[in-house]
Amino acid sequence: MKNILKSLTVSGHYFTVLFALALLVSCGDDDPVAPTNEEELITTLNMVFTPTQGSAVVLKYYDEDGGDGPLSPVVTGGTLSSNTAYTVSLEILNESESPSEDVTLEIEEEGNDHQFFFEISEALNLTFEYKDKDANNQPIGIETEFNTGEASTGTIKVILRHEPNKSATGVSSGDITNAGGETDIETVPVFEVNIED
Amino acid sequence: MALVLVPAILALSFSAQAQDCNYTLSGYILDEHDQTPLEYASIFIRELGTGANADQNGFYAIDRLCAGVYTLLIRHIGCEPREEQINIEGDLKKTFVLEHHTLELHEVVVAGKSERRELSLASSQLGEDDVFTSQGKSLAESLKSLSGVNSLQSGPTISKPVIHGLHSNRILVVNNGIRQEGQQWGREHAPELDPSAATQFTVVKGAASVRYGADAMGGVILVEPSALPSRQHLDGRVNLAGQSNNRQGTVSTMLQGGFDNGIGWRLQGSVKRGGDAQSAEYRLSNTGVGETNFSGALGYNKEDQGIEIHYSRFESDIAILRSAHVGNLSDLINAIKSDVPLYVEDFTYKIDNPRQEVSHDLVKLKGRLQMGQLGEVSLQYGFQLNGRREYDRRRGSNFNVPSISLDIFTHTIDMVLDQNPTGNLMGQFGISGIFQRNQNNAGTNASFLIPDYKTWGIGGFVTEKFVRENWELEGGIRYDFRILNPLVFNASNELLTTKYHFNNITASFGGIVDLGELFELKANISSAWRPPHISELFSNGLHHGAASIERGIFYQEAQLAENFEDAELPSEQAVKEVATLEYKGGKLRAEASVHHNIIRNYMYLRPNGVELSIRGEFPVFQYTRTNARFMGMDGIVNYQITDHWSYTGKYSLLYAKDLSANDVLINVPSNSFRNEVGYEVLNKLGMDKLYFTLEAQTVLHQGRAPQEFNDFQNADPPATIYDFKEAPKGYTLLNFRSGVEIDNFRIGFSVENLFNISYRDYMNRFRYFADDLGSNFSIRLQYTFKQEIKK
Repeated sequence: MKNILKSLTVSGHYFTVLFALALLVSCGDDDPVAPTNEEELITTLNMVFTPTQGSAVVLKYYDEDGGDGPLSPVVTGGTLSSNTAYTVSLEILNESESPSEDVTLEIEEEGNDHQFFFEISEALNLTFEYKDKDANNQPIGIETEFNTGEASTGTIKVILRHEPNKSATGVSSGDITNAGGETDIETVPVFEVNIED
Repeated sequence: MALVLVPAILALSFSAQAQDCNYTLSGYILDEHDQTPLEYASIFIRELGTGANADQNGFYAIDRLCAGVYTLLIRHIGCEPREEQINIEGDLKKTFVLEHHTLELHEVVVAGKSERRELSLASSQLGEDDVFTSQGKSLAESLKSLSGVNSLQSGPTISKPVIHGLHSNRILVVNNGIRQEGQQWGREHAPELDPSAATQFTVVKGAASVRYGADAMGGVILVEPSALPSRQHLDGRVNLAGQSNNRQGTVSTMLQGGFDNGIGWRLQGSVKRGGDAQSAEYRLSNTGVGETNFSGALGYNKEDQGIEIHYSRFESDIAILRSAHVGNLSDLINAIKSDVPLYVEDFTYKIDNPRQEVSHDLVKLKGRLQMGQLGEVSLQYGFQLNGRREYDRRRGSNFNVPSISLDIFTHTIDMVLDQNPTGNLMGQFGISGIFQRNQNNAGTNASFLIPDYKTWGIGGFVTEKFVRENWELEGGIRYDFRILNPLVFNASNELLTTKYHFNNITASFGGIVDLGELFELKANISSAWRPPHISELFSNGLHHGAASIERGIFYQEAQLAENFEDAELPSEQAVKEVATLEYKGGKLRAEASVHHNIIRNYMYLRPNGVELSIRGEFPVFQYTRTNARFMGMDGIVNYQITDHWSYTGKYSLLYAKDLSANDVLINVPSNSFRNEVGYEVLNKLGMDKLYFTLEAQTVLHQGRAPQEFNDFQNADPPATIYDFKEAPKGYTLLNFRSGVEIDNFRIGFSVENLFNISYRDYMNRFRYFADDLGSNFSIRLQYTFKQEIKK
């Protein structure tokens, strides 16, 4: 052993060995991975107001590049009829894929961990009620009923919270104050809504 | 017997004195640790007022001495002076050893040759007691007790060292002689190494780029294990540490041995497991930590040659405070405005999302060979693989898929010639190369935070030191060339193949002067540089969990330039001056160090409005260049009140300014002090050592923090720098440490934040969300054994 080491060191061969090792382990030239599309991307929120009679009104929030990108969202408001009951359902889509992905189903599956909130401006004569339940008998908010009052103008903001505390005070009746969790959707700019006679 | 002897010696010495005054005292003056000669050390005979200097081999001789008892004062620059009485009765050959000193180094165990560094730079070392007390802590937490060193935290488990206000890619960590190459760019990315594998921690508080290459803008942290044994013996240690705050347990062990033929080996490992930490009033849910580390080394070392192989693996799983994870700006503002974190659950060891899995493998090969008159040549190759997986709170099956999955491969090669001293000169030449590749792994189902890249670098340096009896000068110069090849895809998924070139010259010049027996002055001016990091250039998108959009410089510059190729990508450049005055007189030892650092092209994130998306609002931060100034002072005072009681004070003052914007800089540590009273007794009541220390740690309010702005609903964010929350109030914590050493055992007990005070620290990002740690009681046990094998 000693002799081997000695002969190696004296001749300085092991420097060569070191270099050789260094070269051996260096650079395999793999191609870089092309950027992945965000799988959880949400591009679109459609809020579909269906009255018992007449045609549906759709409020649409469209953000082509989702939460991460620099493109500004396009928001389309709408006009509702006064003193009318509307069945409202939400449609959450990822339209960056073809065919577009319906994220609503995923949210419904994980209903326990999701809840929609609706912030209605004071001037707008509009109230809502949750119409769906998760496994714990708490609301999700994909299905709701909205009731309009007298003619007025205002805004609606839709917020989706991931992992909210649904049992906190006021949360199950739609008050977001104590909900906690992380925001997955927040429709800013808000929907401009007119209620007309 | 003694009564008989005394007159006999007296008679002898008198008679000798009467007879002859032609005796010679000669010998060597050596470094205590590695027995290397201390060139030009001085030896002074108090009684005669004369002395001599050692030559370059550490050899000294004083002739024409009369017989008698003399007091010798042996001194060498950078060493603890030594006084010794000798009795001259004839020619005497005597070898003296001196110990290198720094104030914070009381009894550092240094075995073998450590990294030679620029001594005129201010530096601090962690003493043996401190190393023992930091068992179970991360690197940055261990170093925090040194003056001028702070930590930048993301909760209790993620801590990055800060030297004189600079951190992350502006601090170079040299682990076991190899530049640590991981993902240091992220604020929540801590150094990926196991401090329990090292026995010596040195913080060099200057721009030490000449010796170590790019990135050492603020300083260098040297983490070194002891030298491998090269003689017949076997030793080992076992450390157990437990702490109350997060119910953490740590076990670390080391076993090493050697043979007389020069072969030595070492095995070392550690395991750490901790649960949720506790603030003064509530649980910090999801702040657990797990770590498993291993290292092994094998070597053959002789006086004139040696070869070593070393492997180490670091593996950690870190939970991130649940309340600190926010989806968008409104979540962030809600979390900030809530006095108590929004998630407080019962204690658990469970590490839940958000969390990080980080691993770091290091293989090192090193050879050295004495090349006759030329000096010693060493060649070192290092391979590092750093893996980082970050798990978010995602929907569905993606919950268990990392949203960030990065592997970074680094090869480094260094060749250094330690020139044999010639005359008063000694020098070092070196060349080094680096190749690095960063890779995003497929399958994250998420967009990349930073792109893939390749980088190549080559550098060469020379340093020379001119040593005289009472002063020494040192200077060095280095050239570096780097190529950065970002593998960025544009909007239409085409790969951009531009290579960017960076090159730089850095230099350092300094000196040490012995001003009489009590004072020593050190001064240094040095420069450092740093090519922009890929994250500073190419970040483009949402920083998940932090609720901010970050944009790299590239996008700003590229907009200005006609096309991407013309984009000007500047490097950061620093010039730092440090001057240190040391006083060592009897019971009082003091050190004052002033530092001043100007950084050109200092890159940082600057607020740049708000962007809207379907996930809500996000503030945008643009990487911007500016010129910055950091200046301050570090002081240490140590006063031995009685034989057993002592006072130590450590003070750090720091001032930073954005010179271009004439504004404050964000995340700069505030002024802080540590005042401690210690008691230490040796060899009493069957104990080798007993000590306890009470420390008051004061961190002042950062008055120069950016203005608070968080009212995004009612106002546009200001164009000047802002922070979501104002800097927290200052605080004072009381800490207690104690220890006992008996034979092979060492037991320690300590308490941090004795009075369980609620506080928040400006340098902890989680101050937005929760209080810092409440009291923490810890106990440590160390058993060491040593076996000298007799043949």
